[in-house]
Amino acid sequence: MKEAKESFEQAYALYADALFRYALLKVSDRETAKDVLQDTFKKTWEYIAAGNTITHWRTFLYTAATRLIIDHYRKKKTLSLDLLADAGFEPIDPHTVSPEIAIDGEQAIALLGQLPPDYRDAVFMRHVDELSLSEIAEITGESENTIAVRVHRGLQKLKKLFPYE
Amino acid sequence: MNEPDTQMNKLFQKAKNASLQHGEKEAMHGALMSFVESNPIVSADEKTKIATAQPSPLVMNPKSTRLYKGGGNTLFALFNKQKKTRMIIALLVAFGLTAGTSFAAQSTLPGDTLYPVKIHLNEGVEALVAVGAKADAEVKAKHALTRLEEAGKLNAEGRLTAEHKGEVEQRFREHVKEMYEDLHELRVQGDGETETRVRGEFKQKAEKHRKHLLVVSVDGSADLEHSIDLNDLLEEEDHDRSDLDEEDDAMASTTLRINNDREDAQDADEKDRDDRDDEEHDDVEVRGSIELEVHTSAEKPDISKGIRSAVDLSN
Repeated sequence: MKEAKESFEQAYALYADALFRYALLKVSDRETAKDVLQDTFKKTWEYIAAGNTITHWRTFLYTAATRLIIDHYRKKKTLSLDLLADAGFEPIDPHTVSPEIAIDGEQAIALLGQLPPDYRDAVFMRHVDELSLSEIAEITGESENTIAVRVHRGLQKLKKLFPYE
Repeated sequence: MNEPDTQMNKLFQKAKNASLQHGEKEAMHGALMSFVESNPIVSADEKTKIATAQPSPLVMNPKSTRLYKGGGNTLFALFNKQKKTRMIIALLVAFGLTAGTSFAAQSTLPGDTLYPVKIHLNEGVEALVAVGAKADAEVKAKHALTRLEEAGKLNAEGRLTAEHKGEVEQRFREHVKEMYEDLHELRVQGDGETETRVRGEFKQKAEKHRKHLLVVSVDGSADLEHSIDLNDLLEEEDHDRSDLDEEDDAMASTTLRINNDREDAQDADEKDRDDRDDEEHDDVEVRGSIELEVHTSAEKPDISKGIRSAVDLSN
């Protein structure tokens, strides 16, 4: 129990922020991202408490978070842009900002979030979370080759979307 | 384009700066640790004990074996027990079914909508599953410290009203009183070392909350009227404890007498032995009910599938 608890706490210390960023990229809402993060660790502990062992914490946690986010979207009703705007959400125009001026981390994530989802996830996990191609392949269930292609095309799209030199 | 250019790298670096705020990370860590404490790991030994513990008569009946092939650890078998066991199972099932709500309630403060869930359900279940004076005392100490932590958070947020202050103090006193009763029982049982350790750790942890309980006035001075006086709370409980200490001898002799009476009764009456057997089975049933809770939480197919998938891949 003690050893498992220590591993769990260590995993939280190491990966909580990265998982929060990943959730934020995918759900675009800070509070929902926090809920996803908390549920991810809660489900992970339930898995451990049932007598199971985790060998690769990072891929396990990303996979659990991905599944929870999929669940979240299944349950969520479709929101119109008008409703989002009423709630205070304003999409960022990538042509109006430069990374050298006043954008913070969450705005940078919002910019990356404008890529198509497959490319977005691959680029984000590779270049922000610095996961290996094989780790991303494990998490997404795709081949390494597919992920490499997505990263490549994602960077091309990002270049068009974010044209500053 | 296989590698990002300079501008993209700057964007990625910016994105890496997005993180939980320090307070958020700490609060979530605290909530998760409470969850971990209330969901202990079920060891292989415990699983075996549960699986082999007194199968239901229905399971032992050859005609029923086919229907309840899983042995004594079936839902039906668990419900075919005594009233106390059924009550515990019902509470734990309720807890399992409302796990999402109770987890959300874990980080609430007095005045929040879900705070009663935290007090009455989450902590109630924790107290219920604690077996033995030591575990009881530790749970009570934990709950008392949680009250201090809540008061500190309310104070930090400027929400420590007279009403909340009174509520926190009253609950703190109740928890500490119960804790000292359990510690007293430990001493009567001859485990003075554990009693001293639990009491010492409790006071040490309580001290860490002292500075957070002090309300500061607008002019920067201490507002003692609205602050929580930790000395007052702890001294009062120490007094309670010394009252209990004076009863040590009387209680010890009472316990001895009860034990002797029970031994006599055991020799004289077979029924008493059956009663004690039932009590032992009750203990087993408590563990059985924990197993049931684990099954309940595992009934969510999507995430379980995902987790299994992740493990398969990682292996």
